[in-house]
Amino acid sequence: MRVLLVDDEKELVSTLAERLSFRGIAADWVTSGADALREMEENEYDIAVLDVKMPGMGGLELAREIRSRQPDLEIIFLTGHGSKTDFDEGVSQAGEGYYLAKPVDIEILVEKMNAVLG
Amino acid sequence: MSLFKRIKFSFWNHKERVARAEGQQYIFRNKWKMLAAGICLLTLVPLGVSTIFFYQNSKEQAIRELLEETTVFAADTALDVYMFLKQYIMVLQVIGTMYGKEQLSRPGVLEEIFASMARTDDALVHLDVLGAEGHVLASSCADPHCVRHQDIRWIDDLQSENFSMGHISDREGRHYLFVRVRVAADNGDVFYLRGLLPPDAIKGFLAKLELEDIVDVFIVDSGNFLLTESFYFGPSGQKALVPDTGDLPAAIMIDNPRPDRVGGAILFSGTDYIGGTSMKLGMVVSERNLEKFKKRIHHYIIGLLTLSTIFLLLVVFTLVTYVVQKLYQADLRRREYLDQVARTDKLASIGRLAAGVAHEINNPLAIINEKAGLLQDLVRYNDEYHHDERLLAITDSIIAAVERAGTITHRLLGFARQMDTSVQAMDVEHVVREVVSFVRKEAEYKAITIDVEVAGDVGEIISDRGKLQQILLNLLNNAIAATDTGGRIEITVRNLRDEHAVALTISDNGCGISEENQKKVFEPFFSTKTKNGGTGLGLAITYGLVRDLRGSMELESVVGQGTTFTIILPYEISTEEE
Repeated sequence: MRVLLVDDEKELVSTLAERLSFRGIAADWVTSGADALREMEENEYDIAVLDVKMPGMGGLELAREIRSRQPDLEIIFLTGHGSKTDFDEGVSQAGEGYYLAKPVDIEILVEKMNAVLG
Repeated sequence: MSLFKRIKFSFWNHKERVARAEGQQYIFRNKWKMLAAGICLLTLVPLGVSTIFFYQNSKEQAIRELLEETTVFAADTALDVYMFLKQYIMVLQVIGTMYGKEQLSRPGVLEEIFASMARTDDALVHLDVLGAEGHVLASSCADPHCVRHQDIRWIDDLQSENFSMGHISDREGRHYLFVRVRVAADNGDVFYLRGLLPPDAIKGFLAKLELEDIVDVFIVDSGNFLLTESFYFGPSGQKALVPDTGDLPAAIMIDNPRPDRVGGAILFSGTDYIGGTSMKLGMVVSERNLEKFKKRIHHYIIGLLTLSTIFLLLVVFTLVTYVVQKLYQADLRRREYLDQVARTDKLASIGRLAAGVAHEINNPLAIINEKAGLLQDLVRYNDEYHHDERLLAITDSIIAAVERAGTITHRLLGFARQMDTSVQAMDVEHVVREVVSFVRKEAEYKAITIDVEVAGDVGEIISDRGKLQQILLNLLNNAIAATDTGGRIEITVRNLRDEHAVALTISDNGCGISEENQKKVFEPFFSTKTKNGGTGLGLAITYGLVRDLRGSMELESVVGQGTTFTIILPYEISTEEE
């Protein structure tokens, strides 16, 4: 599986990518929505892990954009905030259980990735 | 004082700090005093003014009453005098009827009759027989020098009267009163008998009529000239000041003609006709009576004033007390409401702050988490670090600490997040037993028994099941934490039919909460367990949840004996309300 990690926290996203690689998951990372869209044009991904709150294009907006381009790409949200509207939209886009709160246990994240791909 | 103590209201002892005043003030007591004083002033001043007005007018009133009384006296006394004269009239009528005109006109007969009559006390002093045309037919008197009275020129109306009265003067100018009767014989003959009354008898009789109130009694003719002597108006022949216009009996107020002698500055003089003749009875009532009447009116006014004042004061005090008590109650309700609003506001703003803080902290936490995780991964997956156990232990504890911090931030977010209510019908007992089953294990570790007692009439309520579960769970967790090993927790559910609500109580026999802390436990971030991982949000969240369910929560606690939380939840909350 190929995973694209999108989070404005470079330290977080790069570390997460490295940790996933230890678990045999190839993960690319970018720190903005615009970069993510550019990256997706160049490479094929199965899953996108998106931070909800990012400067510029946020995770939810990015997800809508991704859906319009690649409807079959699976999306998992990561969030540091628990606002009700974000939660509702995140759940409706990614499905129940794919809206994860930071800090997240990497094993749970891997589990969700496997689950989302069936 | 004891009655006052019994009826005084709760506002009386209410004290509070007021701006621009030192110390605490009895604001409602002061309000009561001001209102009572104000209303008393407003009601009693007009009452006082009108009382003074009536008091000052009491003299006029007394004069009116005394004039009325004098009028009545005059009428009564005139009647008494008529009754006195009646005896002479009777005598004349008997003589006239017995002897007849012819016999009486014969010389010597009248003298004989007169002589026998003169032997009695108070006898007539002169007797005349007059013909129908007014000629003197015969005459007799006690005094040997008595005058033979002249003939009378009749006035028509006098002629037809059965009885009339008049006065006559002798040569010395002495006035004599006389009575005259009309005698009609069977043969149609009419003649008159006239008798002069003994002055001393009249004087004596009138003197007897002078009582305490009546200071002078006299007889006047139609022109108000005295026929008998009067103390105030002088000897007979003088004019007396008596009412001479309008209908009689009547009375007037006059200036005392002899103020140097008796009876004050004014007098009351009354008069009435005697027995339908033109002669009048006059009388004088002294001013003394005026004072008596005034006093009576004053007593009446003062009695009325006292009664009205007592009644007004009662009404004013009752009303003012009622109003101030209502004000006090309204004020208490307002304060309670403001307290609630302030508490809700505090919760809301703290919620927003907490959410912001949690968000900001979650990102660095996530980085720490991932970095520590990476360290762990390196040790685990990279042979270079030879699976260094010490490094793994260090990273483990970092991750554990992050997790702990994460729990707190997630709780903060949970506290801030406004969750939708999913309202549904539920069996309260079922929810309680379900929640108890969650904590059963934990309670068993501390050998705590949890008893659930649900009253038979508790039915289903319509509320948010998730929130109720959370409330119960929070309270149960607190109770378990507060209770020592071997303790006991009791949960009761009762039906409050009148309030359309159910009451849940959760009591423990644990350490209790000090009175000081009882006020703070519902405030966010208040915790006595901070060292043991308490966030101080548990009861604040619980309180918020209870309010979401339109309920109320109360706390009773005694240090060392235990704590009881009581939650009152309405039978039903509508989704629209949410």
